[in-house]
This record gives sequence, structure tokens and C-alpha cells, in this order.
Amino acid sequence: MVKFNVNGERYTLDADPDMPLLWALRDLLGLTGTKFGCGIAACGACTVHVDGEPVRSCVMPLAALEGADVVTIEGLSSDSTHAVQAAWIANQVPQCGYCQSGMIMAVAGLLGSNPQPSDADIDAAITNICRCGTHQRIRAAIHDAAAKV
Amino acid sequence: MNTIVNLSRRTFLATSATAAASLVLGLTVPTPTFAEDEGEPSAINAFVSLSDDGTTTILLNKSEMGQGIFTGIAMLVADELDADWARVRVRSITDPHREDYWTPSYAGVGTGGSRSIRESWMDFRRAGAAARDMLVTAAAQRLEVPKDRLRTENGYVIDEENGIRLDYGELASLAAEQEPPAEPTLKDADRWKLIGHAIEQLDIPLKVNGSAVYGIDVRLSDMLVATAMQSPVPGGTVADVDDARARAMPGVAAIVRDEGFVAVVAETYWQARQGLEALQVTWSAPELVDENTQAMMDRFAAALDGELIAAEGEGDTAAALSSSGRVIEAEYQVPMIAHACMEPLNCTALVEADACTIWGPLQTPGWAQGVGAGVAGVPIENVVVNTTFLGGGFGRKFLVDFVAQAVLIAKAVPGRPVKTVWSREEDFAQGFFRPAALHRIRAGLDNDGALAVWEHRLAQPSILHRWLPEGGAMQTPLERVAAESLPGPMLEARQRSVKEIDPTIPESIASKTYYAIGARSLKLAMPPSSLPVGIWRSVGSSGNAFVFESMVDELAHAAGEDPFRFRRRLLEASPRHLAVLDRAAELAGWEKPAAEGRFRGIALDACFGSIAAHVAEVSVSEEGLPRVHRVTAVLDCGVVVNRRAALAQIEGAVMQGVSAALAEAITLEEGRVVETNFDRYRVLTLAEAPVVEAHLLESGEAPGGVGEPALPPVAPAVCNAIFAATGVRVRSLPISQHDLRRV
Repeated sequence: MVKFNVNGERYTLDADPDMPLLWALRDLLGLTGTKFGCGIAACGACTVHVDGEPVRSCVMPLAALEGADVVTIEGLSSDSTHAVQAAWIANQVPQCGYCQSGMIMAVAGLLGSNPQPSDADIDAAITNICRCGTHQRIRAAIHDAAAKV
Repeated sequence: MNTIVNLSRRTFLATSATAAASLVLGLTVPTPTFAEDEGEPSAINAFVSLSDDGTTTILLNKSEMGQGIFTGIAMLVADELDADWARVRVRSITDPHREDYWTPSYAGVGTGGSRSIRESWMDFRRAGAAARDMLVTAAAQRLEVPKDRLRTENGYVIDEENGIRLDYGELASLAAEQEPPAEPTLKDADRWKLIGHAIEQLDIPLKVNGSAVYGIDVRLSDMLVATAMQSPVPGGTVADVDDARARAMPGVAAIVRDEGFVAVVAETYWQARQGLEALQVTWSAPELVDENTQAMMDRFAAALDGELIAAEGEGDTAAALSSSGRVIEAEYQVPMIAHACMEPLNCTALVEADACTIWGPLQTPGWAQGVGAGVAGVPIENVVVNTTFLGGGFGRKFLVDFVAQAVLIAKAVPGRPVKTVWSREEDFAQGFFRPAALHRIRAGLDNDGALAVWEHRLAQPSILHRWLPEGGAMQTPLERVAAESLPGPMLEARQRSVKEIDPTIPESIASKTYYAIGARSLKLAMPPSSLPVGIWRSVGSSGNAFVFESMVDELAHAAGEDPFRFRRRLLEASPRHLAVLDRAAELAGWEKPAAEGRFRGIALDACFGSIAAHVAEVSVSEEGLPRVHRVTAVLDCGVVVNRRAALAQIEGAVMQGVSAALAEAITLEEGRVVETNFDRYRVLTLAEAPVVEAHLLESGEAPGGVGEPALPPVAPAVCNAIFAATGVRVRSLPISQHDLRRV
């Protein structure tokens, strides 16, 4: 039994404590905005916030989440108006879009701890993979969001 | 606001029977709307449906995988229809066997080859124009006035004289009864309001808040989740399975064993995954195994020494070589690379007594429908195909091995939908890779430095022969199921296009008549492939342009001429190509010196009906580490439909091209793929990404492809810049395997 909060709602899950948070979100809670990409914390598609920090949920076991506050892409804002989401729309960032939930969560996490990141800060913090090649729009959108945070 | 009709959560939670009937429903952000909330729809034609509330629904026969085609098609239809763009919705079709939706070259529904616009843009425009004409006819009837007194604008038919404006919604049902015009009148380009402009993508709002539904996000009531493994030496078959432990594990509902895979079906993915890891499976080896990558390349080399197929020839190359003032010989290699779509392969299927329903990220719904029919044993019209958003496609999701597997698994649990999700490791290990290739070239300059002769030999396994039922022993078991389930017309179209030679192999080498070359010949070997191979963004051109344009650079240096000016002479009789090259050089400042420590390379290619030229700006550190700083990319794709999407596609193609050139390769050990996740298969990160300066050269010619043609010139432009920086000629990819310390 694990008790934790997701997007402000309390959940008690009776599930395998080794089950990664990613699969609990997707298969048990129906929150499919958080994506499965690699299963080894290498691509970042599954990034969510745990107690305010960006975390790759595909390797985070439920057992480690007792009492935690989890925020997923669905809970970042109620109406897509978070500064990062707004910048993503303004810069028309997504192509296929599959990596973008994780990108947006990673960037929202970065801006939380570093509101004015330099290009080098961005390079070091945002190691998520995008296969469509939206990289330069991501960078532009990060600077755009930083200017508005 | 615009609406993307998307698989909605509400649909998923409906019973499966209801889900099969209602299929794709609307989901908008911020306020979801659903098909059942709409007004009464009237089907005007195959692509246009109008509701009495004034909503225009445009039906899409193409798959959205990030290229922006939903928006592009909607623009084409809506412009000719004079629809109110704010009230346009789009929805994917579910009946790909219907001939109205076929792409002529496939004789079926599929998205690939950068064909959607260049092959079908007139169909979409005609559908919009025909619907507009029927609305005007309906309005003329209603108002009892001659048609020519009426005009249309922004979702209204307007009778100026009487000051009457009729909303399209009011006319929808009457319009649907009208005879479609034989030849609808299309707008002249100067009256386009959407086409040629930069329009925001309709799907982007869904892709920033997690609400876009990809195949992997499909959820249906009573649904099970499966995951499977195929032979780690691809193409092998299951010899023995010990599933005692897996059967006893929590949540496991079924173990499915087929010729080429074993699957565990469970309540959740995690349980299925745990179950799969508990299986003990013994595999029988396939007929052909390459112990390692070198063994494969050795086979290709032996094939090049054997009998070759003449693919193209002009003039006497032997004579030209012997009389040539300067002959350069080189061997080039292209590695296998993976699609590595961010969304791992997955597909959901429901098999019932006389019906099959498929949900998935599909590039070829038409082929998937055939697979549903073939595997489930039901008539094709009883197979409903729901195409979701694709989390990347790049050609991998054009194949339907994963659909065949999903339907085979669902067939073992009839009456319950089963979503089969591949692990990333399986997605890599069972890839259909861009084939490796071995090239040997001899080229000669005459005394004036003109390109007198080009003799090219190329060994590369066939891709397209594998798609035919007689595709041979090298097909994997799932590939065979897929090939045998091709709908008849699609099969005939393939048989027409694939003769002795797989026509994708010589792309960007054969028919390169825009370059002035004296005598030329191209001879091919098609050795069998031990691994499945497939179409990877820009297909043959992706590797061939690297080889050709690197070799042109070698010749320019041999001639002692600037590589840009050398190409200008080759393009003297090809003004359209020359204009693209000139624009790239001008925008990159080719004639001005680069910044300290930076070096430039240039390359050009023409494929998929378009022309692209790029200039890459590169530095190489003292330790020999390359860095691509900037790529100036120019594309002439003729008439541009959505400027915004076209520029994004150039940027994306360049990034993917840089990624592939720098570090991507699939290698083999003991017949198995070594790179089975992103820790070993290195793709471009933000830190390595160059600045891409994307430009469209609007020649006004007929539309060409957009998604692929900007990719092939990337690798040669980068490698030519590396040569300028270091004197090291990169003759095999990826660049990361070379020592680039200055020679």
C-alpha cells in the first residue's frame, strides 16, 4: 500500500512496490500524458515532478513515493497557461510531440530552481531526447518562458 | 478554436462495442467537445462533412507523425471550400479500403515518401472546391436565384444584391443532396487565404498538456496489456518455452506463443513485463546470421566482386576512365541506423467473431486493415482501423509487423481488447533498419577539370522485395504474415514498382542528370540482409547523398577548385538546382571567411520531388571532437502549403541528419543488435544541436516533398566541412568512429 498525491489528489495504491511510478500513472491512474520512452532513465519522456523536483518516473519505484507530491503534465496547469506551455505554443515547438510532456516538465523544473538559465545551464539540465529535431525551438521557448516567469 | 478530433478518454471508457462504433471522437482544449455533442452532420463528399451548427469536419486519410499533415490537408480543403478556419475540425478516417482515400502510388492508404502534398494536393483542393460548389447550388435553390449571383466567404454563401448571408451549416443537408460537379473550379493562387501562409499546427495545443492520444495511450474498458519478445537473433523462431513461473505471476492473463514470438498478456504493462522476464525461451536460429558487423560488410564486398546488375549507364565509362587526366577511386560505407521513434511500437486490437478493430500509430492504415482481415480471418470491410497520433514514424511505422503481432495476440483473447506495447529494447533489437551499404566509385576529371566519368558500384540489401509475399527466406515470421496480408490492390501496386531492382537503392545516384557528367554507370549488388531492413527517412537518398556529395567534394579538391564553384560548373545546365545552391552559399556567406576555427562544407541533393542545398559550419577540437555549429539549409519544394510546417520540417530533418551523421549506428555481435537502448544508441541532445537556418526557395513549381528532402545533404555537408577543418576525409559513418585530429 502506497499513499501519495498526484496533481493535488490523494491516492492509495495497492500495487507491486517495485512498479515504477510511470506505469502506475499510466495504467492505474489513467494519466497517459507522461510517456514511456526507454525504461532506463535515458530519454526523459517520463519526466514528472516529485516534491517539486524533476524525476524520471520510469525508474522511480512506488515504494519510494510514500507521502510524496507528484505533479504530471496534466497537473502543470489546468488550462495550458503555465509559462512553459505558453512558450511551447508560441514557439510552435512540438512536431510528433511525444517527448514534449517530459521536456516541458524538465524545463518547468529547471526554471523553478534557475529562473534565468544560460545556454550552458540548459545544455547541462535538459538532456531529454527529441527525435523530430525540435531542439532549437526548445531552446528558444525556454528563454522565452524564462523571460516571463 | 480549431479542433483535432482525437481519441478521447471518454471513448476509451465506453464498452468495446460502443468504442468500435463511435471510434474517433473530439477532444479540444480547453473545453472538450465530442462528436455526439455536435450538430447533425451531412457528408458532402469523402473529405468534407458539414454539421448544421456550422462545423466543418475534414476527414484525413494521412497520418500525423509530426510533419504537420493534419493542418496541411485541412488548409487545402478549407481554402477551396472558403470555410471558416475557426470552425474547422479534422478527423482520421477509419475505412481505408474505400478507394476515395487511396494514394495512387500505393493503391491504398499510407503516409510516406513525402507524398501527401505532392501526390494528393489537387484531390484535397478538389474536395473542398466541389463541396463549395454544392453549397452554392443549394443556396441558389433555397434563395431561388441564379448560382452566379452568389459568392462564398468564411463559411457563408452570400447574396450581395439582397443582403443575405447563409451559414454553411444551414445549407449542409441540402448541399449533401446535390450532384457533385464534374470538374470543380479551383482558386487561382492569388486568391488563396490559407495555402502558402504560415499557419499554426492544429495539434500543438494537445501536445503541451498531455491530452494528445498516441497509440500507446489507448485505453478501453476491459482492456489487457501485452508485451512480447522475438528472437534476439532477428528472424529466428521459437523452439521451446518454459512459462511455468510466468503463469503463476500476479495479473498474468495469458501466454501467447507464435512462430516468431512469445507474449505475456496481463492487466498492466508492468505485470506483462515481469511475466516476460520470467519466461525461459529457446530460439532456433534463422537461415542467415552475420556474426558481427564486419562479417556483414565482408559479404557485401564479396557481392561487389561478383556479378552485378546494371542500373544505369550512359557513354563508355571504361574508355572515359582510361583517357581521363585524373582518376579518383574511393570506397565508402554507410552503417545501419535505427528509427528509434520516441513512441515505442505498440498496437491495440480487438478480435471478435466476425470483426476486428485496430487502434495504433499507423503510417499505413491500409496495410494494417489487410493484416487485421488476414490474421483475424474476417472480411476487410469488417476491420475498423483507428489511426492515433504517431510518436514519430520516420518509416518504421509504415511497416505492420507490430500490427500483425498485436492482432495475433488479441486473437488468443477473443472479445477483449489487447494493447501490445514493445519495450525499448525490443523496439531496437527488432528494428527494420536503414540498410548498410558499400560503395566503390571511380571518377575522372578531364584536362579542364570537368567531370568526365563516374563509375559507381553499390552493394545494399533490398528493402522493397521484403514487402512482397515472395519476399524470401530472410523475412521474419511477422514480416511474412504482414506481406501475405497485403490487400490485393496494394500488392499489385508494389509488384508494378519493384522489378529486379529495389527502386529505392539507386535514389540520389541514378538519374542524377542535373549534374554535367560525361560517361556514367551504376551497377548494383543486392546481397541478402541478415537483419530486417526498412525505409528510414529519405530512404536510399540518406546514405547515397552522403557518398555522392562527399565524392564530388573529393573531386573538387582534386581539381584544385572551390567545392561550391566546382558544383556550380556541374549545374550549368540546371538553373533550378543552381539557384538552390547559390542561395545556400549566399545565406551562409560562403564567399566570406568563416570565424576563427570554423570551417564550411557544402552539399546538394534532389529527391522526393524537391531540391535541397546545405552549408554546414563545423569546428574540430585538438582532441579531434567535431562540433556542428550551424547548418544553413535551403529547400525548393515548389509551391509551399504551410510555410510554418515546411520550415519546421527542414529544421527537424537537419537535426536528425546531424544526429545520424555524428554518432548513430546499429552494430552486430553474435548476430544480435548491440545498441538496444538510448544509453548505447546515441542521438543528438540539446547540447550538441546546431543552429539551423532554414530557408524556402519558392520557385512556384509543382509541390515537391517536404519531410525528407532536407535530410540527405546534411551528412556530406558536415563531412566536407570536417575535411576542410582537418584534412581527414570521412568515408564511412558515423563520424564518431574516426580520429579527426588534424592530419
